[in-house]
Amino acid sequence: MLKLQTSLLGIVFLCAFVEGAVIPALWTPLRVDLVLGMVLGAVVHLGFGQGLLFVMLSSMLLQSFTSARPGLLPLFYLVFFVAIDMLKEVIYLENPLTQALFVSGFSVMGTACFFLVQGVVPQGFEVVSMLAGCLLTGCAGPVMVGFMGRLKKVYGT
Amino acid sequence: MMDRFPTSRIVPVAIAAAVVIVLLSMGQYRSLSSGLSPVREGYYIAERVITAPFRFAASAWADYVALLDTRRQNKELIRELEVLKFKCQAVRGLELENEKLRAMLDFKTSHPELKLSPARIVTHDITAMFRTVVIDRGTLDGLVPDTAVVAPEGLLGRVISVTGHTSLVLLITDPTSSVPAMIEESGVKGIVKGTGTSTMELEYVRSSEMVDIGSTVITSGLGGRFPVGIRIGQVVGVKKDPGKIFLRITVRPSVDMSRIDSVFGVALGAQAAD
Repeated sequence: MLKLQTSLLGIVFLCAFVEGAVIPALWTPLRVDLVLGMVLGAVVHLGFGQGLLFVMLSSMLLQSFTSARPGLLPLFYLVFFVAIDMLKEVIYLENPLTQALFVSGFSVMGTACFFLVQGVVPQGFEVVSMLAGCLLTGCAGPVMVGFMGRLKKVYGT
Repeated sequence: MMDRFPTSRIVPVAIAAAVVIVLLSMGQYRSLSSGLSPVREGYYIAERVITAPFRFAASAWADYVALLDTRRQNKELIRELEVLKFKCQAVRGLELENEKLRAMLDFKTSHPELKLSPARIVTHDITAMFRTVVIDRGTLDGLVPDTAVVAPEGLLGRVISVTGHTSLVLLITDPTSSVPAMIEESGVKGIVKGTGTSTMELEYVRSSEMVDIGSTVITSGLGGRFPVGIRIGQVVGVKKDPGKIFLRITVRPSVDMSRIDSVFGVALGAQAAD
């Protein structure tokens, strides 16, 4: 369990590097959330306990790369984790298309909620970059889920 | 003497001499251009016929056999061109870096009162909604929380969290950012707040004040967190809502947040004294 969690946090760290340095170097306003796919992967491949631990640890690690109010990122990922865990029994989450749709949809919802609360409307090019980010987040989702599955197989837990 | 040169020979020689004299008297090469042209034509045809096989061989050599070498040369030239293109790009990159460094130097020269420590951006905020960057300067370089961070074009933000080698900088466009500001032309004061988008709002400016589009917004220095007179941005929109006591002023930051690369940490007060 410790090995798996350490590896997962290592991957989250790598994701933070890709999200914060590599992707903005290609297109600065673009943000792709790779961890959202990992959270979905945690629901699909890890148990609830391990998944929850991963979600909390990773979201706290990511807090150091953002000015978001402490607790906001854990809340965001926790809501996603619990919602997906509840839907797990109803929806076949092993399907990559479903995974992509869920991750993408949640990403759009999260961003929209934020701007609603802030009372500002992003305009023009910003909307394009945000939508592109949400779509790419959705595309990365199944990849990250598959990655979690492989990792689970390696550690055999 | 006469025996050695018979009379029968004298006549033809005289005729020949006469012809020569006539020809010489005709003027410059007129006889050649008109009379000898068939000769030239004949010579030309003969030459073409005789040299045809040689020319064919030479042409075959030049156009086919020698092309093998040309092909090799072409490849080499293309490769050379690619190298030169790459070098050209590298030179352009150096030029841009030079311009950037010059702008930074100009900023440093124009603000001698500020203690500036140059820094580079390490990473951006991982979320789409918040606006922070991590720079490669920390406590070991004299940066502390609330240190102002500027770019050559103007104010960028302030340090909110610091480690030995890095600092988390809250950009002025972040929704949680507030900067005491004033309009340079009129001195009207307000607070510039980030919105999480590419524009900001200048708040707490009374509806009775006159604010023109295009006015420059600078730091007012109130609160002591930011140095006075650092450019924040430009007014791009002014809206007066009836019944409201404050104007709704939209400000576009002077720093293009999508292109920031090199920045300065600005130490103030006690830090500057160090």
